[in-house]
Amino acid sequence: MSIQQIIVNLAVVAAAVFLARGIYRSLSAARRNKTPTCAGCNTCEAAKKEPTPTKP
Amino acid sequence: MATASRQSQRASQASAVSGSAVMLVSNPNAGKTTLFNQITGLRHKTSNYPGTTLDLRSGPVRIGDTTRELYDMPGLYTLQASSGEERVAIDALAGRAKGLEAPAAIILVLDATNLVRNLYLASQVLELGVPVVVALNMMDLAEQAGTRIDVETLEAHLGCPVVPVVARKGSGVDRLLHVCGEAIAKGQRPQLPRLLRNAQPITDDLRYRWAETVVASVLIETKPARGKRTAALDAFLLHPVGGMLTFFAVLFGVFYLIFSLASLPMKLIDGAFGSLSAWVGSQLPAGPVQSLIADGVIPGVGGVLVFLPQICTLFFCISILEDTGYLARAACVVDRVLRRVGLPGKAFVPMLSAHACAIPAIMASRVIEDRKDRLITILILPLMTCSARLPVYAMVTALLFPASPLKGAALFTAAYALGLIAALSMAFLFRRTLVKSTPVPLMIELPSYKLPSVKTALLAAYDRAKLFIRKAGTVILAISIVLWWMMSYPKGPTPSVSTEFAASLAQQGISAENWSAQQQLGHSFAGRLGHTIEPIIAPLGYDWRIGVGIVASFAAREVVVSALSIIYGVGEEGAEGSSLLIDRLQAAQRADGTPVFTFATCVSFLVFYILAMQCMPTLAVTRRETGAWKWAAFQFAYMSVLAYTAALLAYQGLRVFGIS
Repeated sequence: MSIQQIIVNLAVVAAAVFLARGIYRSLSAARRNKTPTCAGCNTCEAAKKEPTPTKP
Repeated sequence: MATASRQSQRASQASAVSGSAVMLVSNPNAGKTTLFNQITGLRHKTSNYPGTTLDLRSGPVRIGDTTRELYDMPGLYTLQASSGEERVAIDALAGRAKGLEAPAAIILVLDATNLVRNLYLASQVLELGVPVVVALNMMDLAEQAGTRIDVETLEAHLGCPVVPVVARKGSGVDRLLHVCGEAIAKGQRPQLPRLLRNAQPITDDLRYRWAETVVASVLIETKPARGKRTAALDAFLLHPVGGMLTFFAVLFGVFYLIFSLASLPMKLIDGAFGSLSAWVGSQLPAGPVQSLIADGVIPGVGGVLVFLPQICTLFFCISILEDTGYLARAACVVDRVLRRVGLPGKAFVPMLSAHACAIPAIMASRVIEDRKDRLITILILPLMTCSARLPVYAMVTALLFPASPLKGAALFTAAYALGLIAALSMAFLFRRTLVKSTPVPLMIELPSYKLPSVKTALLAAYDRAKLFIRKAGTVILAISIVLWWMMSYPKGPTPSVSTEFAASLAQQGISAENWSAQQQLGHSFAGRLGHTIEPIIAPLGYDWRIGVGIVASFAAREVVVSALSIIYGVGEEGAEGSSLLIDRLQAAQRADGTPVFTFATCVSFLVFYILAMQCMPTLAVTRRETGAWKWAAFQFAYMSVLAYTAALLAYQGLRVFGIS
């Protein structure tokens, strides 16, 4: 296997793990009644830089 | 999660230093969050319509010699709350909120332009027995409206210090903090006004009588013509016909601005990514790394970032509209329609938020007290056009009307209108089938008209750009890499093209290189997936490559743009010499040499993305807010069926009329 192929394989595995982690976090947050964040949008009030100390 | 624990850690540190916190309390839309941002230097969302603050937010602030935590409460009309957002604030004031002490002092923000209603809440806050300092906000607007307030007399009536401030400009803020520090140091608790002190119980009528007495003695009219302009503007903007026409005209104007202002920077960004891709291709040795970067990462990320100027322009315009006070008027106009279809009036605020993102919108639906009303609102919110749909709309618009901002704006307005009509129709249907009850009408305070702040609008556009770029650099980058891999592997045998076959391909307008690339793509994982689902999507006018884009965008809608950018980049060797996204898509051909993106296919594709539920985090937040996966599953199912059916009708309908 060439060095280029190894680099590509590592990049693909890292990207797949990143996406799987995002999906897992989102679903488990919903299950535990926490605010799910979408790993990108962050528009939601609770996901802003000063998050909420309490929930209604 | 990590930020939440940092927050609670910081809150507990502040408590350890100072004993307890300071809380900002006011009626909705009294400028509390603007004042909070001025004091703390943070940048929470502010707007000129009520209901912006939903949860408690805090920031450290130096008051006297102590660093204290300042909490920004959701707006309250009364301390006898009914909605979720009001309960948050009341629990915190009473020291019942988890992880929070009772306040050391309250900064009560009063809107100087609307004192009577604000004093009703003041009468209840004064009863809490906590040091209170009044921040008399919007003094500049009160003066413009022809009124002056006798601050000393107001202080005497309230029995606590009153500091005039203009939160928007930051004037009076230093003095407010100084006075607050003194009140805490002296433990100055306000004296309940005599009229209220002697009454048992204190009725609502009595509170209003007291408020009117106070206002009569502190308000000095300097101009008799107060409010005439506002009344005249309101008469027009709230008119059932004129108001609705203005609403659509404003929407159309905003979209026209988007297309005319953003077209040049879009072309520049698209060109820059095209050049970068070509440069990387020429600099790196041929191989999988070169292909990953030049065919996967750059087209994938660049394909979405091209639409950044349009998104910034849209959020700049929305912020300007919010600031002027127009959006609250639009709420009243739209409320008439909402009520007819069975949506509660308070659904307007979440519906407005949903134009940015469905996630905060679904959370904002907590302002709706009735559970059934809330459920219907949550179910239809993802049909509103969120910012993730914008790149898809922009892409289709560029394909259909590349050189006409006017037609582009019309198509955008139609896309927004279709989302809104679909949301209202589904609400109507749900109200008569799933959840039978009568909706509660809207009660919203109409804010005064103001000159918009360009700084706030620029910050809104900047914040949106930051989030968009972050998403392009994380989720979209990762999806681009995975998608490129799925389209490049496994490698099939290189097909040999004889001279005769190449000539017959050329007769159909297909180059031999393109045909070889298509064969390789068809052999890949993505190709196999696309061919498997092709029979389902073919009636909508889509080829298997669009199908791959749709599957890839289940996580987030805008991914379809980068997916198509990669798919048609990888599959169209050379793409007739152009590296620009729109050129590549326009040049894309089916196996028989006919173009992929015909008028009917573009319309069908647009309709599908207006209505489809292609956003996993939204489903997760629906589960959270409804407390059951069944509603999230129902939302996904009904939106998918609706999108498929509408796209099918659009495509087949256009073909029936001879438009392909």
